[in-house]
Amino acid sequence: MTPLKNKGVTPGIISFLCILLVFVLASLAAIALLSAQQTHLIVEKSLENQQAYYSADLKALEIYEKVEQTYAEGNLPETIDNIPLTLTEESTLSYVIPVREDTNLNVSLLLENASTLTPINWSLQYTGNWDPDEPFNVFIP
Amino acid sequence: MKKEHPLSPFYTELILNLLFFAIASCILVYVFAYSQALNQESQDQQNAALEIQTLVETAKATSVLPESAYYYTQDWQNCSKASAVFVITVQTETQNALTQLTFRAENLQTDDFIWTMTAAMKAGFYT
Repeated sequence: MTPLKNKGVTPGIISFLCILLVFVLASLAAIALLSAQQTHLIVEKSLENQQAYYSADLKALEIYEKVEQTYAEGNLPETIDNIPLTLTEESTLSYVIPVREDTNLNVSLLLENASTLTPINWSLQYTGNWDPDEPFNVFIP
Repeated sequence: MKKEHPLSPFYTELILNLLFFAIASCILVYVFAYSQALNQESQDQQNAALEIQTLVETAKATSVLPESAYYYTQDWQNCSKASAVFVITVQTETQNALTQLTFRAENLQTDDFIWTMTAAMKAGFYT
């Protein structure tokens, strides 16, 4: 049998090609793995946010129901379940449920008559810091 | 006369390379398979969360309690129980006018848990 090196195959070329192929495949595998992990992190964050919102919504509804009961009895407590209730001059009762570190669920109820509470605000509010890490001027007069 | 070794340097190199490539391929195939499984898990979680959110908001908007179970195909399309791959079960607990809804998404084929979420609705509150 005639060795291949006698047919023009340089010694070491197979090793070089093999290492190159493994390197390319390893790079692709690393990219696929990193991409999958990033997607997984984003999805988990999104699901945590969804759960946090609906937990806060549940808490807000529970407080709403307790306010409704006490208001029908002619009372308005200052706190319910350690959540402070704020009564304004415009007959509006407000309370804030924390959703995440930087987000709150703001609830405002209009006290219409002796037994009617109308929700006028039930919205998320971002309370985090809007200051950028590196500020720069976009308009210089 | 010098006797030639039965395994020439060329074949030694070839065998060593094949061995190296086989080992590397095993590791790389595992990494690719793991990435694919992770992607699939993320996709299922996202779809389950979307379906659960749809069920919650529909129940809130209509003040109608959801059914006890919803069945889905591999592509998260509604289907019958017989051809289902995924299921979202709903547990309801009513106290006064407040109803607590607990959703749990599972893969019926692998019995894998996907996602669970609790929400609440109040009858007549959203209309």
